[in-house]
Amino acid sequence: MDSKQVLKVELRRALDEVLPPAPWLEAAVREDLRKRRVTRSMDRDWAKTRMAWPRGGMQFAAAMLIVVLAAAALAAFLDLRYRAAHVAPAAMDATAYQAMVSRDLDRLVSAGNGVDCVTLQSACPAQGNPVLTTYQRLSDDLNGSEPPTRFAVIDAQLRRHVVAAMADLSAVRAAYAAQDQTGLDRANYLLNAQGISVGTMSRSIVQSREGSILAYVESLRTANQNLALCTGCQPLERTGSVDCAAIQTAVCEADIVYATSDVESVEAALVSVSAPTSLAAQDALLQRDLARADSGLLAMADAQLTDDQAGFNTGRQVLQQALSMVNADIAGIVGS
Amino acid sequence: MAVLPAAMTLLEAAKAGDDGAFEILLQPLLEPGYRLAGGMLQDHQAAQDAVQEAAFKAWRKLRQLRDGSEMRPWFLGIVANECRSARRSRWSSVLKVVAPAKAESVSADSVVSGLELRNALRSLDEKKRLALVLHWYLDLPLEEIAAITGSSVHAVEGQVQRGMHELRERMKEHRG
Repeated sequence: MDSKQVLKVELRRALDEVLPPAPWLEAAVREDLRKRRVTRSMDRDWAKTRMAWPRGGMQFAAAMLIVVLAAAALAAFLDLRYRAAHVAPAAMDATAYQAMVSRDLDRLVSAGNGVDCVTLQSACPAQGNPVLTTYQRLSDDLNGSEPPTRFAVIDAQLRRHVVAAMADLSAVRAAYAAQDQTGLDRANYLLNAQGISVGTMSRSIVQSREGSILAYVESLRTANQNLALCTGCQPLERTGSVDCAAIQTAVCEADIVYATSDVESVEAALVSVSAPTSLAAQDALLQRDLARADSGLLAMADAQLTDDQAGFNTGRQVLQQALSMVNADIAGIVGS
Repeated sequence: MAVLPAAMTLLEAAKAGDDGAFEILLQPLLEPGYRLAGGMLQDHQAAQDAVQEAAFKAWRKLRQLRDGSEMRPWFLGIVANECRSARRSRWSSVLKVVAPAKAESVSADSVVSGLELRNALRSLDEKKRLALVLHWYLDLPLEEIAAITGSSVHAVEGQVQRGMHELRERMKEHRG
């Protein structure tokens, strides 16, 4: 090969290194187009309404125009609000849904690069934080879509964690603005935990495949080994536990983070290898109880942020009840 | 290359508002669009965003595509414009730009590293980079590149030659 050919081959290789194949691109583009066409047709309806306004004598028309403009704008606003509240989100097939989550997860990872709000000396972006923007986009995508049945439970949990992550991110920014390093440390700790939850759940969706009975049970059994040891769960379940005698302590926060991780690893396992038809009913029960445990933990984490002891206790009760159900559910499946 | 009658029918249907026909026409263009955006932006996420935006703009502006025109150069032109916008937007400023790393033991004949080449390509001006990516990475003929960029074949040929020359010079600089 001459030097031009060598350079060409090397350039292609260099670009291929940063450009993985994108088999999901077609589904992603189609879905994106579909959503944006709906939005655009709503805009067109509004524009047509505006074109139909009356014209007459110059002054009268001008006055009328202002009145009508205001009325039309109000009508359009109310109409849009009505539609936003009443239009059911579009049902998606599994491939498109996975592509959407994969895309948003990649965006989150990219947005996190170079963003540093760890210390008061960090150059933490004030407005338009790219991480917040990407969390918001993930939230919008999830809210604008109806997931396939097998992702319904994890989808609902993912939405809750995205909302919690955005709240934690706001807490990070508030602490940074207030030059409060202690508050910044705590908010960052909780934000990172939510980030792990969002990552775990999103990846389980992206990697999800249908499994045989053997694969499903084995996946569940492996994930349950962590939950059985769950070091964070025991002190959280006990009402008189020393760890959470005061809820805004590092040890109590750590218990919640560890427990959440163990509960979610089982949730993720159930999604990564989805249940065969014969175990679908038991799987649905287990997913529901795990989601309740996860929600209990989320309520406890929320309560920590605001030092809300009553909210923390309510979350603890939910966790206690849900974990006992989870253990029974798993025993029923693994033993079957 | 002549447009097939069947494609003309699809194009007419798409222009008349048939979204299914538009998607059929768009489908084979997505992969080259993604490679073009990836070559220009060197970030697969940004490339995907650019293709999505281009697909929406193509759908909106489809009626502007003249009858008998090829859809591929028209669409790739939109993708190229999107890449230009993406690089100017604030978003691109948060993309991680890896500093050029010196190879440990570089001899004149050694294989150049991908990182060095990507950095060298990134440092070219936009026209030359676009011409090189289209010609070398997408293997498009000069005539089609001219249609995409709205310039003459002669001008494109010059951009490819100058781009290649500058790429070599930058590589020498990187190697010290």
